[in-house]
Amino acid sequence: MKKILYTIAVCFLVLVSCEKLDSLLDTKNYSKADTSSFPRTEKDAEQLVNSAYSTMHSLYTGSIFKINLFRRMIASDDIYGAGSKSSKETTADDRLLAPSSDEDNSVWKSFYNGLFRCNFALESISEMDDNLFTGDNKTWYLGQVHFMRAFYLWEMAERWETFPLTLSTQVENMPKASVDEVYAAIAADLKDAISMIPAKYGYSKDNNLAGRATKYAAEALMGRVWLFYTGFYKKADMAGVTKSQVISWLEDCANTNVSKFDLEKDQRELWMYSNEYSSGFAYGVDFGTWAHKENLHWVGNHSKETVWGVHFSYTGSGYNRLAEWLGFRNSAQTPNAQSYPYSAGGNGNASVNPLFVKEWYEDKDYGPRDKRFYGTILVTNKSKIAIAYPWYKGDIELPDFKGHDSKEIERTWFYTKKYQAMAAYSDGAKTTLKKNFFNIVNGSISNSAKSGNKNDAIYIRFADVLLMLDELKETTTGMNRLRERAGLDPYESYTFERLQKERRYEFATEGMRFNDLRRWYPETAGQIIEKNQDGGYLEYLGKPNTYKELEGRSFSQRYALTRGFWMIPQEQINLQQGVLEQNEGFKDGQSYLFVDGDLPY
Amino acid sequence: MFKQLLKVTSIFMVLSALWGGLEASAQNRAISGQVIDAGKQPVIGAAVLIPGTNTGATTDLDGKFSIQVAPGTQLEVSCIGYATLRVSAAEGMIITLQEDNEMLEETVVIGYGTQKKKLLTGSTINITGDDIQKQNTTNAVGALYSSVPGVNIVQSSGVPGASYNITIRGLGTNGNSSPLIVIDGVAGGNLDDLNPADIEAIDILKDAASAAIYGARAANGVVLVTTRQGKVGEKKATVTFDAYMGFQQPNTNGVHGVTASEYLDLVKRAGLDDYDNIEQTMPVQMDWIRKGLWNGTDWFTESINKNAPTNNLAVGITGGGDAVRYSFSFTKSYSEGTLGAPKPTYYDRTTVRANTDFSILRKNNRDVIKLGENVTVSLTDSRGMSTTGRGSDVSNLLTKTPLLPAWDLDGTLYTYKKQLRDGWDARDNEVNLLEQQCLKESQGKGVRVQGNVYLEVSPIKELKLRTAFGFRANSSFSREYTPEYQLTASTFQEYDSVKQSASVSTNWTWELTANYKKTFATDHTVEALVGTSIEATGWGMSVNGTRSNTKFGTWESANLSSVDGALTSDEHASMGGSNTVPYNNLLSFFGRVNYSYKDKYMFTAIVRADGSCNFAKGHRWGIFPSVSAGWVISSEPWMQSTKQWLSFLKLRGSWGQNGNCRISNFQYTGTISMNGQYDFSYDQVNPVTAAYPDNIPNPNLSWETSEQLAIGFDARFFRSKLGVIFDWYQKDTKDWLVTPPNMGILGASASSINGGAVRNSGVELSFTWNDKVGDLRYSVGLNGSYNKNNVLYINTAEGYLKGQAKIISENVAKLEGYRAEPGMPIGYFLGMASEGIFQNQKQIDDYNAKGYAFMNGYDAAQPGDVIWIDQNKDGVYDENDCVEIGNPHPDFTLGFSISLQWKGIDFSVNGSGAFGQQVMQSYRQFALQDLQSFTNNLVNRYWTGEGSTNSFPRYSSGSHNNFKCNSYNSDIFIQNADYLKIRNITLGFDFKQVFKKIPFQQLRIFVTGQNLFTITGYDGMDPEVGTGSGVDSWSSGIDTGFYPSPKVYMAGVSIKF
Repeated sequence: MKKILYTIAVCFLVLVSCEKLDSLLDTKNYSKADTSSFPRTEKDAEQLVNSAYSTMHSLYTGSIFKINLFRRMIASDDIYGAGSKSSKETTADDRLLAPSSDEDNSVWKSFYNGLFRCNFALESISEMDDNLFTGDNKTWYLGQVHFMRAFYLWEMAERWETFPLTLSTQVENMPKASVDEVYAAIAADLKDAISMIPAKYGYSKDNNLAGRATKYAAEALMGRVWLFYTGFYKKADMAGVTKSQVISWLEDCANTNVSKFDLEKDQRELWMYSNEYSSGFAYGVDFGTWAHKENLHWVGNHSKETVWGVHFSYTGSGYNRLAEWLGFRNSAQTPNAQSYPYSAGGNGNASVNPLFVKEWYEDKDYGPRDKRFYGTILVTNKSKIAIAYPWYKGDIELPDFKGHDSKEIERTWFYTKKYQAMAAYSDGAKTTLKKNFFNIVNGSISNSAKSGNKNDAIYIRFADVLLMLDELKETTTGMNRLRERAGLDPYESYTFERLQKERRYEFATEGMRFNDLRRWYPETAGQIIEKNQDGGYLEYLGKPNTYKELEGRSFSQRYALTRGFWMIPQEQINLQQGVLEQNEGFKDGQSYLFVDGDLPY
Repeated sequence: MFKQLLKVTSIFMVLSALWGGLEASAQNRAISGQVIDAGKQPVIGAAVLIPGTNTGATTDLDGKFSIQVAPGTQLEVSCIGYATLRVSAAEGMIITLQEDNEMLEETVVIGYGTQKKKLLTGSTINITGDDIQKQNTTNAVGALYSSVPGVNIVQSSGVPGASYNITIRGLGTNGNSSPLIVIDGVAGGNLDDLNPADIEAIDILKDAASAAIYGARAANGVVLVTTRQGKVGEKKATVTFDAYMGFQQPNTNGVHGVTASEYLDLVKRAGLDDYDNIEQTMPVQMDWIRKGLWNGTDWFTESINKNAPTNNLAVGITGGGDAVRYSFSFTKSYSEGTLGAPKPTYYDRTTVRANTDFSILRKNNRDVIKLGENVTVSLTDSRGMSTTGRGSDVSNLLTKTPLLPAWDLDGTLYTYKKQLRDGWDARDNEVNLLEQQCLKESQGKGVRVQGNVYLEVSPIKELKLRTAFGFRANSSFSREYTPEYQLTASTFQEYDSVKQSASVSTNWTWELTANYKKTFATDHTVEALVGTSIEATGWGMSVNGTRSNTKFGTWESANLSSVDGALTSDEHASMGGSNTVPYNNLLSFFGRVNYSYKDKYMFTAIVRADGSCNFAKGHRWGIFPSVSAGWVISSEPWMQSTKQWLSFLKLRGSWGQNGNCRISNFQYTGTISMNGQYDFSYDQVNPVTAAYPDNIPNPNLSWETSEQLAIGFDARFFRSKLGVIFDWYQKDTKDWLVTPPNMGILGASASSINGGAVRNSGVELSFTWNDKVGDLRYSVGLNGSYNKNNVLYINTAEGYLKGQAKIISENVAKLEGYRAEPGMPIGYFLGMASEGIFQNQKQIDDYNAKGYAFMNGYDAAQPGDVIWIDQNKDGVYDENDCVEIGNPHPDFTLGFSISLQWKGIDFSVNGSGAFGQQVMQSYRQFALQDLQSFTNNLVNRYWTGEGSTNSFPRYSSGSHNNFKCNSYNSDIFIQNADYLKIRNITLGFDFKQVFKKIPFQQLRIFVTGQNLFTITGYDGMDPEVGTGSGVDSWSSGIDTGFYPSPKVYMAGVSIKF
């Protein structure tokens, strides 16, 4: 008996160890490549670089909380909280609270996906033979990835301050890095990007070059990060990067001859509200819109003023959710015809702070003659404006707009135009009203005010490069170019206050203000925002009221705790087993959740 | 159809009554005698019958009988446990009955062969096809509940056609825990496709030694299914005809939603101000309520499909001569679900099965060369409903606001247009679920073919060589049409759309075995088996497409071609396709040796080696050995004295290992996804592909192994009237294929590792009693099993496996609601424990005086709040205070059956129960979802004043810590879910038993009730909760809205001729 078993066992061992037999089980993955055979060619390398970009699209799906641009917009004193009771994310964001303890989870994962993909691309492309690449493409690819990693790190740093710093694909459970380590990594990546991306690639409309990270984008981002770091942390320089280095990089970027980036002739033509389908220019018909009256023609996506932004494809997936969240609330009470040319398909989260409008309107250096005023602020409902804002004598673009009384909770009747979703007629005879003009531009785009917005999400405009230089060099060159463009007289001399105002109005409701205030006034930004917002007129479910703080959790109190940083998702804290620490202001017992019924109206 | 059936049946009944009337009865003299057994003891209750008549007698306490019969007449003497004997009648006769060894000579299927039941050394359960068929279930597994100790069966839901979760001897893995299904020797088959009436027998291999011959995937046990085969000698074909028809009702346990006015009252009591302006947002409906025209929509009750029909028709033919044996059947069954009205769920299955075997060369009553095939083709069509988790269809029905009308006063659907007409604005974007359900039209068919062809050569009597080629092919086709619609302001589609898809997949297996059996020196019997098999995934592909704006705009004419213009001009068009390139999954070699001495001492050894393509070279092969032994004590000469009461006793023991490799392939490599894209073109119409690694590889991944030690005995007492089977086992499953938690900072998904183990240990005991009193034959079966599930270790960084958080509500998010952790059962519920509800202020003050840490602070506490337990007494309620608050696994399971047969009447009842398990239940998401509806069971649970309840808090906003508990899960959602279900009650009458001359072998009519009674303290719909988190297969017992099993009432007929 033993013998038989023994024989069988030996037979098996012989069989099993037979290489031929074993190879019967070899399988090849036909649906996916794997790391043993990828990347092999230049094309593979290029696709890895593309993934560093494509991860940005995932920042625009899911919760609106994912989009830093939007969060900064709402948290600032430009815009109030929410258009609807159900849009808790926005209300929470406006008051530096969290709508749930894991609202940041998917954005956290998206950012780390981005980092991992950058790290993988950097590691694997570096190892590839130089001869596989055409010309200087290898360094060009690597330089772009360095830029992308710096961009992700910066967005994370301004959001969470610090976090586990993963700069390779070998990741273990690790705690947050120090602030200086994070900024050193960003500085290093940006320096690499500046030195590695060939200078010949500036602004371009060429196929395969449009929208790529350039040396100049890296220089501009360096300026943005450097100003924030040195201002917010009160340092003289950043990881060895000096002010003069930053100035020279920004000057390189501002040099239109090399970078090919430049200002557009009218800032209002940067935004899709000036598209020709909504105004009727496309059909040679006047639809009576403000954009038609002002003779505005949208320059389109990929403007030469967009030094860095997220781009979307007409035929691919991915879209810009800003328009959905800022767009007019869609309901039976707000049909498209009432809001035309703006599309009523959104959530109406963009009530502009009336105190800000008043300040701008009454500023003698600016006022309504500043082209940017009506280029930014959308004024609606004539009768309400007359009652609520007796000081306002300006134009009312949508006098009959009624909104949705039983839903809107912080409505001021002032909306933001930038990023606003646009409706359009598909022909001059007004036969069909499209909820989304992009559907006319390209039929494969959904005719939805929510999922069909393919406009760029702009992170750095050329105007910012000019203003950063003015701020660093205390000059008026850039400011005056912008003022001239806006139809205003030039300033004769530089003052910090003038620079601040110019930034505020140039970038109004573009998500710049929050971080500007934080870097200028790291300790008191909270009090400033609170002061600038409190007491402004608003309507809560149709009833007049004024903007109020939450008791015990006012904006300044929340800012004092959080310093404007956000919550680390609870799930990640759990997953990392006590290695990862929660940010201040979001710890147990710090009452950080915004729940129904918390609003003081 | 059924009417005709009834007509035919009634004609048969009349005819058979006539035949019965013709029967003659002859008067004869009384003859008396005695029946004794081999031990010269009287046999009590033996039947002495004149064959073919109803005339007969039963022996008394002394084994004596008296019967009116002419001397010399043939008499048939029978008694349970003895071989039936025919004798000539004579006065004073003494009849000696021999013990019936048939039961012991019975053979059972054991994997690549059969074995005498008596010689089995492992623990297996054998259920005959007749027992399965009698229960009239759509799925054979549904008939096993009451007769399989150690096998826990839970329906995955009450949706018709829903499959069953079968767990053998406790949950052994975090991955796929269902046993391997082997149908006619082909592994990996699908029981759902088989018609229960086609099954000859089901054998369940519970211990490792029995299952070891299937080494690779037998870690969770093996279910062997044998379909009916024609038999040699059945020269005359037997035709069977079975049909039943019935209706079903949902087993809701009384659960329903509240009315609109109750709802408004409840919301007010919970202090939610949202409906302050209800008059303004719902002017027309408030008027309806006041006038008594309408009082809200109970969506769940609306969706009940009243008296859902179920029916089944099966025709079978079996027969066989020396050259060809065949068995053929055709079945059609249809069941509608009890929920989902106005478009209820349903399941429609047509099955055709053909089993044939051809004897090519037959010598000396033995097939030398035999060729055969088993094929089942099934055509299914179904409409389902999602039943798992928050947001499932059932959960939506339970939580939807009652304030939205489903129907207008005129009986038409209350559409969005009507919302606008009435200014209905009570909640944002409320979809009328019934309208939504009516929108979409769809049809889908699945065609599955499974079976095998085999060749058996037996050159000499002792040796049998067999090769078999098994195959499975699945294909499915579907077409869907959605018209343009607007359900709410933001839920709309401005165009109609059509979707079509088709897919095919194939698998095949090929095996080769040699079996040698010989008895040496009369007492030593050796049987050896060696074999090899290969399993492969074959060719497969799928295509699908969607288009919009169809030409005709109707469901009937909608297809991908009925659209104007090119594909590219259709903005909503999409197409997709995939293909499978064939590859080998598993390569195996196996051998088995059985040895027995005088059928008294038995020994079996098995070894199997499996190579799986799921692992990298060097980690592919697993070797799974087993040994087992048995000793028939009752065959020992020194046991003869106990024969009187102990008919049979066998002791058996086994040890063995089995494997599991059911994970997704290619985890050993870092795969690159090409799903991303970005567009660098100025005109934005040229997106380019983006590639990125989407997992972190583990090249060392290998087999999961389960190891089991089992000891048991089989005994029969009192001439086999009483059967007792006892088993003890300890099963360790180790090297679990565990996917460690995916920390966000990894940047890609983690791959599995071998890192976990669980121990299941338990006992199983079953009793059967068969006897006869006069003409009444009866049998009673009772079985129970106890299992303890205990995780041994988990090798991930945190030392346990995380489950899902947010089970009850989005904001109960801080910690997972269940986990697998050493020292605990798999998937135990985790959360904050409570010790009651504050009944009055004094109690609060007392707790305060004792230094109790109030979750919301002392000042905020009110009577009606939960008294949470601060486990570590540190004054804060956090993760450290979360403990085991429930275990979803039953400690005990119980099955029982009673069947009676008297003359032509048969009656049976069976049932099963499970005890000791808990269910996490909430038909409402409290935290942050305050405006969901309430079910009546929930309303009943609230604390409403001193003494009302000590287990559920007062009404308040869901964001109160009573419900949210600092964002931790808590025991207020946990309930005991012990239950005992009467699964089946059947009453039947066989005309053949009474009217012997009718030209049928059987003509039986029956009525059956399934699932009629559930005894439970559980207040939800169905305590047999088949859903877990929906994410981890090792989670169970989570009820956030469950599709309950139906109560079925049916009648049918069963004819054999």
